[in-house]
Amino acid sequence: MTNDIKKIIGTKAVKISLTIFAALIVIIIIFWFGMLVGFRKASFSYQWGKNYRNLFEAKSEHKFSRELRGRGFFDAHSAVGSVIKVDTSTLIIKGDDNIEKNIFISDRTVIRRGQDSVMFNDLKADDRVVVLGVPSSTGQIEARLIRVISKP
Amino acid sequence: MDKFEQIIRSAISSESVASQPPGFLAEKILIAIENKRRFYVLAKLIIYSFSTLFFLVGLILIWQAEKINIINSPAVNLLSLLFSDFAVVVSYWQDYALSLIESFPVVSVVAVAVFVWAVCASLWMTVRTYFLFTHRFIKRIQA
Repeated sequence: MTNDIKKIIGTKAVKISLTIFAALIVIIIIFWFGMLVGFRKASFSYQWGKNYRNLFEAKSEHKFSRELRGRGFFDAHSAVGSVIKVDTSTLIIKGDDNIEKNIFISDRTVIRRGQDSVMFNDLKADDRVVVLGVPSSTGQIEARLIRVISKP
Repeated sequence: MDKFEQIIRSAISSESVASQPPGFLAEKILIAIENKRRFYVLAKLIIYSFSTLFFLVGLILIWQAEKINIINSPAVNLLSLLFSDFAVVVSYWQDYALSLIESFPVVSVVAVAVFVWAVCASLWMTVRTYFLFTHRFIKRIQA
């Protein structure tokens, strides 16, 4: 019985079928990841657009729609760019793709410059930062880690 | 027994020279086969060499086009967090993984990787065919 099963599994047709099946599973996993990431990016971009006036008061709607036409969705969990404004609990940074992102700073946020942890007040305009965080329902990124890096 | 069968039988049974193939015929056939194979291998070598050159030029062009996208991608900065802020990254590993997937320059990396693979594969085939061409056939024919 066992030998028969081994013989069946050892046949070329079964081997090819198993390979195709494994490849299909890998493709489905990649597709699922793509959907997950795409959905998060789309949700964040939607919230970002919806709350644009609240988040970035200085910008007019006309400029917003013109600048973003044809762009893809934004990264929802991270931001890399230069600080352009520091508020009481938020940070506005402008990325290399010219997209402004509003970063919310909470008590849990870790801010690092070199080897040291620094306070939120130590951040200033024109600092280049890498932000790791979680997208909020208001189009902000709740920062978990802010790393100040050197300018390129 | 008809006449034709008689002729065949006599030809097979007799040890006449006419019924035997000439001694050099086998060698001639083998050399002809080897030369034909050699021709096909030479053709393969030329095709693989040109394809290596083609993919190498393609790789250089694609790297020049995608270099900025890859080097300036946020994923590179995020990867550097692994070395500078390992403990924090590990504690928020899910967000970190998602941020990496989001910002990874997939199209640029895939485009470069495809050409790197193509160059390696065609180079490997060229070298293999070259050794086959210069080593195996020459030895056989010289022997």
